[in-house]
Amino acid sequence: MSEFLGKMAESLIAGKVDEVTDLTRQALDANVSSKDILEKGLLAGMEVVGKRFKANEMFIPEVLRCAKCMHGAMEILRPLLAETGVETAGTFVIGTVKGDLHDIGKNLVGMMFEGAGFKVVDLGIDLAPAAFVAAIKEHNANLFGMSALLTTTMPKMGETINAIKEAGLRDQVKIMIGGAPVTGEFAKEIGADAYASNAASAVDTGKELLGL
Amino acid sequence: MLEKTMLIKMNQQAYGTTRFQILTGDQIEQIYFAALDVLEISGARISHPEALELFTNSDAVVSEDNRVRIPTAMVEQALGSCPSKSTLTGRNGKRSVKLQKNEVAFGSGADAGFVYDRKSGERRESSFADVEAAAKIVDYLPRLDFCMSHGRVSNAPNPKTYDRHQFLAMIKNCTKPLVVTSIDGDGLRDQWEMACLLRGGEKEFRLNPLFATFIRSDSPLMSSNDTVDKLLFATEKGIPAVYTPCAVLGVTAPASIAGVLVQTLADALFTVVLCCLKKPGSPLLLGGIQSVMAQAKETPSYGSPELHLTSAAMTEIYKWLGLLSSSAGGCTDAKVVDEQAASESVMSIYNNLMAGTNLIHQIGCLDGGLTGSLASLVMCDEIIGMVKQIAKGIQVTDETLALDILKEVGPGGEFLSHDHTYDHWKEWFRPTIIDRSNYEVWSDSGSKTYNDRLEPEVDRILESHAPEPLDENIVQEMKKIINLADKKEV
Amino acid sequence: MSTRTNQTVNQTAQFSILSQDQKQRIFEGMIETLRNTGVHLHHEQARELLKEHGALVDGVSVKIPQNLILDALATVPPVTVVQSWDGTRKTLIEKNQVLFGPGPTPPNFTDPHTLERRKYVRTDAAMVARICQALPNIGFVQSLGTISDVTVSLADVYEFAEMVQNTTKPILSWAFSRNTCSDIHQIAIAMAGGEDAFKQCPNYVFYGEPISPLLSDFHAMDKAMYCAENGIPQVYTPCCIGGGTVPATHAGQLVCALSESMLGVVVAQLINPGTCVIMGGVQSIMDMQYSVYAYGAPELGLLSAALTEMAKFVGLPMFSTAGCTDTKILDPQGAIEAATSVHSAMLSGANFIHDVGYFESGMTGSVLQLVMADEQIGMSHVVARGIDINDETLAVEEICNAGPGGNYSDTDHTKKFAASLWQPTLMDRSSYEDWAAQGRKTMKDRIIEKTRDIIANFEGPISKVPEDTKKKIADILQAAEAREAENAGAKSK
Repeated sequence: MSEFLGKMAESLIAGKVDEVTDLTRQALDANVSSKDILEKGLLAGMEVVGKRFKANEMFIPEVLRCAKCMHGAMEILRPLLAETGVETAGTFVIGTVKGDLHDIGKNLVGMMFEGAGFKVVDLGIDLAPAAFVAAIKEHNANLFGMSALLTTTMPKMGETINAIKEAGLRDQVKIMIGGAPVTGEFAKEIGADAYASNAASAVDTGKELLGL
Repeated sequence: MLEKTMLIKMNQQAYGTTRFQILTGDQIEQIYFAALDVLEISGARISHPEALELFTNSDAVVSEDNRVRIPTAMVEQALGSCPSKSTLTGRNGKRSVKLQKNEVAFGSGADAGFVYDRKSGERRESSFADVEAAAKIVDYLPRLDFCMSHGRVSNAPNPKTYDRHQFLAMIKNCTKPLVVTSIDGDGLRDQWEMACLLRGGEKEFRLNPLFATFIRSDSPLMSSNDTVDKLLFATEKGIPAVYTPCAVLGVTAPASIAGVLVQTLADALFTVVLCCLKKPGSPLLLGGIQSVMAQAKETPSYGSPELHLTSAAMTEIYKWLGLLSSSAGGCTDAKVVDEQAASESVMSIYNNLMAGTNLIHQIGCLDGGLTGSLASLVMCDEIIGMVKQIAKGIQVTDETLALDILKEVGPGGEFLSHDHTYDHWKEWFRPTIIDRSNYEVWSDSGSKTYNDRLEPEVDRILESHAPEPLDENIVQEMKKIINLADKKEV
Repeated sequence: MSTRTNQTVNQTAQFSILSQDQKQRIFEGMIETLRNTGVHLHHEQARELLKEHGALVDGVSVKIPQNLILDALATVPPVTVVQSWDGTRKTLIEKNQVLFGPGPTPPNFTDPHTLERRKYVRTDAAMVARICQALPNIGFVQSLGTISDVTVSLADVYEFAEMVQNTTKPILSWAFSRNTCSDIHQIAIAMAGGEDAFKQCPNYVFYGEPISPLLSDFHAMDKAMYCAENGIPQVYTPCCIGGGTVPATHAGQLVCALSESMLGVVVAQLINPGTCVIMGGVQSIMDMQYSVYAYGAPELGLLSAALTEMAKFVGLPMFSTAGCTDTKILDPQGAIEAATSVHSAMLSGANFIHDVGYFESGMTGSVLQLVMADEQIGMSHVVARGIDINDETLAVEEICNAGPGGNYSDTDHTKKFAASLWQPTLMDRSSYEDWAAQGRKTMKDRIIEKTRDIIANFEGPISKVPEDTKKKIADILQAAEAREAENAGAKSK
């Protein structure tokens, strides 16, 4: 079993998307538990990736390729993990607020969270508070992120948090915000749980907020 | 999938690299014709007996006051005999410094009297150990191609032989080709003999020179006997010679840019003729400093934009004449590695690289060449990388136009996770000391300035880099030559 | 007396990255991209307009046939003149005419007195404009910040109001939307002395931004249309992030950037043929270690210069970028990155080279960086203007008179030509001893001194602004405040 998982971790670190998906299927066929595949194969691999990224030995395009491997394998594993009641990191809903169409930072954050084993629901751009609320409800999200590049759209973040409160969902979800004009101070002001200044630290912060 | 038929876009001509030009051929010609006029009307003055004899036996006119005037035909015949290329091969056996049109090599500077002590930070006289340290750093830095002494061995046992000691310090610690200054013709001879030891003989050296000799003249159109000694010896033995006349606008040369170019060219052409008369075909590089006066110091400014302009222009002139070129780059008037050192180093590296100067020396020199800085060497290595990235230009191909990728990703899409980005991002410049972290990450890591990151890197290189050691037997043989010189020159 | 014939001379340095064939290919790439990939245009009226003229519209997707592009490029003006409100300064927007200036809207600002990183306030806008006015190598003005101590939705208008009174150099203004665009325009008209005076000769330029890849949001297009309607010269340019929002290969980035601006050009020419639209933008790559938009990367200089050539190829003015840095503190990194991009941009011949003074990858504005870059621009200019070759400058007579080893110190020739040698204001050329005796100052020390000196002592043109113009501006601001308050009230109901 450990052979499979060791190989899977290696393939993931090397960014071999198809190989990781194949190995996942093979491992399942060989009766390796989905939990072991997740923790000892995939997450073990991503941990190495994360360390190397922090040590400036791996870089974003490589990390994203590894995240793709993760995504491919998780598509297969998620239903099985749910069946057997294994807890995954959770579901992360993310989007850019209404009036704002900028999204590259948000896209990167989403992809990095996928690499960390989250299910990521990226709603896209120009999203009203109601749309965010609906998605958090629908996907039973435990983590929520908003992004804005324009100072004039930042107030939407506060409005969204209020809408989440009004929908009775505030306790269900940890809220993070980001974007060039956004600051930690602003996050506190509007009642968000955290602010992150880049995608990598966003993942760390998100995990911290959830106690992972 | 659509089958691909043979498709070719015909008649395409691209710029393989970025193009840069100060002077047109017509403008260069004007300068050239003017320099020829100067040589015919006014000429140069020398007192070296052998040189005077060579000129006397030629079509040149030697007057009573040792003034030598040269007819154009002699100049052009000499130009015709100059080799279009030469190569410097380090003791690592790599023919890594290509002295040929539009090939650019970078290296440190020579003979700075002072350095900054790594422990105390104080300025002090440079020593054998400093030359060794600099050579080590040059050996390590990927974008430096040759090694000059950086500092001067001011603690040599005999002040008249520090040049041999310098040579040893450099050759022990750097496997790349050297460019070396010498005190006089005897110094050059000793250095050459040491190099021949390594190369395996005189003829081997001629075929694969280990070093070029750097011959500076401070008096335009008036080469000293020592200068001529070195030129003649180098020519005889086929040692590539870098002749560097220095001129100060408005003081030792005209204050107009075109004027200093004319004077410098006349000086250079005079030297070309002299070397050709001695022995045609020896590799010669022309260079020097043509700058404004640093008023308070009464020495040329190493950071003036006029210098950047004249360097590039002289390179273009030499190229047009089929000659090899040399200029000062990566140098500054600043006394420390600050924003001025950075700005002036960038400008001198940028313009010389774009012009295609063959040998760009003085990397790492502060205070107009008086102080050598190991930190500046490391800084300039990074600057060279950045400027080279711009000089590389842009390739326009189906792959790089990526029209199908644009269509696939579509409006509002992202390219971060695309294979195309994965395949190509490594073609960009990667910083070493330059920091691109955001404010939070930067302040969490200690809010370091560029200098805060630069200094530890110098230490790291010194501690961890070990150049391929030089055969101890060869070192001993070299020391014999040096000892002999030390004793002789008392 | 003999005569020289058949001479070709460089009147300035020549610099080029792309051959004619390479430019043609990139141009064709733009044509094909707009035709076959199209753009997303979130502005119904603009889509309708394009549809009327033959574009293929499907939802927000617009595909533009090449005849629309060629027609637009046939009507763009080769020369646009911007004149200062006091009539003293004419700025020519025409091929290869170079100007440098700062950039707009960083969220933070370096306090020139405390050197702290702080929010930007209303008085900073006036100060930045005055500093730009004082610096000889700065030719236009942008704010280097976002005003934080006024009504949030009017930061753009207050910024313009402050800056326009403190400089006669053209301002490249920006606005949140058509409303504030109009407020700014009213202020400009007041400064010009009336609508007719403005129509006669505009006194400012507007800056707007589509989004990469290939997307124009509602407000960007709406403002662009407003400018076209009112004959306001405008910049319509993206900030393309190589490897992020555009391809990682430079040729692909150039195609994208060119396409994005071209949409603005086409719409503007349909509304008002002959109105000035400037292309270009910020062009750099995403640093793949820190996911930061690398303002200090050499790729910025390379891409900007190449896009400048594309602008010249299609006959449009160029809004370029230089003098900016990823450093978080004024240090040699800031100098290295700025000097490299400044010289590249100068050599490329771009029209408005902006973001001089951008710090920290565009997150902080710094007048210290601006003052440093002003000196670097001066150095760059010496190389860029090339060499004057004539009988007098060739100085053959002087050289022969002086003879070998001669001295030129006291000649008339030297007196004449020494006068035009470059005089540094921030570069130190003193001896080590003198430098040590005077306190071992670095260039940073001198930059700080010079900046503070300008702030304290340079007044700028504010005293020349007529009282009734000041009153008009105050009225415009007041009306804008009332409108914003009303809108805010309406929203909360």
